[in-house]
Amino acid sequence: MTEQTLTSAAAERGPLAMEAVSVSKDFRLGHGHTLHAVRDVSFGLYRGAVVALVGESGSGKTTAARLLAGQVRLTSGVIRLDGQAVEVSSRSAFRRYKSQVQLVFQDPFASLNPVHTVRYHLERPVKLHQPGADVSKEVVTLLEQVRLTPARQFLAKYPHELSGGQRQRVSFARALAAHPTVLLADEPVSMLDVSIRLEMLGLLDDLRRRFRLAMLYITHDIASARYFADEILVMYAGEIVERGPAEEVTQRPAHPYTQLLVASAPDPDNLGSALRGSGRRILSQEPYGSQPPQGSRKPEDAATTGCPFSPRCPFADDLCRREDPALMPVSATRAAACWHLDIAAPEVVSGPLGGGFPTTL
Amino acid sequence: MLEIRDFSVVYRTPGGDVRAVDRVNLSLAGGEVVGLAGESGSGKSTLAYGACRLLRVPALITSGSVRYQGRRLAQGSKAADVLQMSPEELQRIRWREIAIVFQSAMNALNPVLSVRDQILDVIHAHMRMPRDEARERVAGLLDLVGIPRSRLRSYPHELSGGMRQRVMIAMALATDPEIVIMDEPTTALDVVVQRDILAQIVELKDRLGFSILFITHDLSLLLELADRIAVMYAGQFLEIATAGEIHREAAHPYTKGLLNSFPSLRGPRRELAGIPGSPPDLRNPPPGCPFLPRCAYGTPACREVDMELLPVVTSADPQHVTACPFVLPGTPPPGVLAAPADGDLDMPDHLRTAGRPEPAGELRTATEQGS
Repeated sequence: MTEQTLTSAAAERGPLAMEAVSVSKDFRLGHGHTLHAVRDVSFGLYRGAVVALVGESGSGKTTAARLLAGQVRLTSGVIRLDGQAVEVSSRSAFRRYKSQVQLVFQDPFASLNPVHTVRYHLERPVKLHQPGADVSKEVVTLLEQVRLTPARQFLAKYPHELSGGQRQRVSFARALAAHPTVLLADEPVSMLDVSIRLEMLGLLDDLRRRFRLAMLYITHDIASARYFADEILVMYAGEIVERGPAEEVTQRPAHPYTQLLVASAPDPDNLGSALRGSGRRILSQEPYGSQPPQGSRKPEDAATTGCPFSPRCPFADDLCRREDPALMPVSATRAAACWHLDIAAPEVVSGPLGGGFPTTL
Repeated sequence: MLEIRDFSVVYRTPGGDVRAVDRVNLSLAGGEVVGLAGESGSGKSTLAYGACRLLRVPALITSGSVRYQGRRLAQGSKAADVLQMSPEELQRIRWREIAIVFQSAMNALNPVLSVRDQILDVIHAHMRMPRDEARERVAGLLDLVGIPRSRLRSYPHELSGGMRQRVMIAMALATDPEIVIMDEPTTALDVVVQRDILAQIVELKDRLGFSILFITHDLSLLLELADRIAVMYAGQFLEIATAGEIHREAAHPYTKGLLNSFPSLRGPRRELAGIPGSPPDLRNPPPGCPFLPRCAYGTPACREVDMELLPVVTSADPQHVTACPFVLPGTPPPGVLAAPADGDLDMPDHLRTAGRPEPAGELRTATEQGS
């Protein structure tokens, strides 16, 4: 397998904490349909590093996180934590696992119980995962770690008395209560106002550094991944179609889908050219179709053969519709799954990055 | 076309009145796209809904006028005040003249009505039109927003988020309104779909000639989309200018903070700061500038600012107005806004330090104050 030659851009930060190897998840939909939510996905999470999983809704990002969190059973593949294959068959094994791997959800309005106080939300995981600890002292420490100060003031509050940002801080504190080594953050800032998103990412970054957390950052905002993550994995219809160092993937996207994502991000420096003014533009003119995401969402459309992006891809030909390209390295740290990288991204393949790597292209 | 003057809304609560919108002025010309930017709780939705009289108790409009002058309505006569209208007059204005695309398409559509029936409902409620013609119009509207006609009989749960949002837009356009208010129409959507829908909105606007009041917390979107941008904070406007002016020389520290809040994909990696802290309690607004507790350039004099929008001296554009009288050009040195955020709710320490020079009543440079 060619992929083994690839080194993760996140690996230089620290040792491997968690690893997904050829992980797949199918959901049976009835009527003989199967939804391939995650297909043959492999990546590693390293201590002190952030790996971003970027893709649109329905691309399988959240399912991937839930697989890593042990909340859904794998269809195939292995997840390893500290080199050990994960078995969460028993309740106690699951709890041990949870004390190392914690998940933060997208919606701070839904993930906290409205009838319980902040204190209750934090005391429970402390009692569960740190038996014998001084609970009230630990809870105060947790609140201070997420910068909810003065902590005493927040303990008796109910979720509805907190702002969205404060609620999300409570969710972070709750995740930290278990003293995890891996933090899976599923769109942790997308429900928050733009003005406080940075602050929250800054806080996550601070926690990552302080506790050497191995972090998976799931988002549809590739621009925030550029700033926050070491490595970016781009997911489409359950597959990783491109991966590499954050700066390289965002500045010189190789896969046509990544190029579409980058082109769709709002560009404040591009005043007037794209949306304002007159005439028609953007996607209606560009080769990319504007169909809703297909693949994993609608089973009848799922490209069972060929590249899942081929129906929307401007470069697609018969080969693309017939055979699904594997993730192939284009440099020591980058890989993309596309038959036509030489046309789609010639500068990536032939540039200094591509030197010395045998590819089939 | 729409002229909002001296408009105030309070929410009556047991803990006192919340001044959600405080004496704001805003106008919207024909065919114009005006962006309303601000954080949640800044009063942007309250302003828009209040101007259409869509708010319920405990919201109370305490002052102001909203003059509307449509092309179809009462030609030649003077503009009517929405706030003084009788229920019948309001019924005629709503949707026919001013339509709203509501925030979450997931919840704003009726789950037990098909797409066609929902739009038919709107048409029959607000226009006199024969049944056949109305049905034909619904199909035409779906074409307009790029939904295949085969989806006419679909129910909302059978549509993707992007499609639902398109249905909302089709509904808003069903009666050919003059003004469309869009309240965060794309916030819940993916970037690719968002871009697609925005492009469609702009194209429809060019074709049909309506005006848009676009409400969002994402200033980066407005920079691309809007003609003019009004930045709202704690129920007041802090700055109003064209998108280009805001982008080139934002005057208010809050606008600068917003501009420095989103990571950009292109160009060099900038030092990003965001805006530490959270908005003030509107039951008990602080005197002077409401942004003072979070402002990196604040001085004691800011407590006496009367928040009047004045032209920015350094700007060539007289329409560029701001409520901050202490700003001169020059981007702040990077990191100035990145004051540590410990103690979110408190005033930053440097504002309390004694011995700070009082501004001499004249303009001082931002860098001087920030140092």
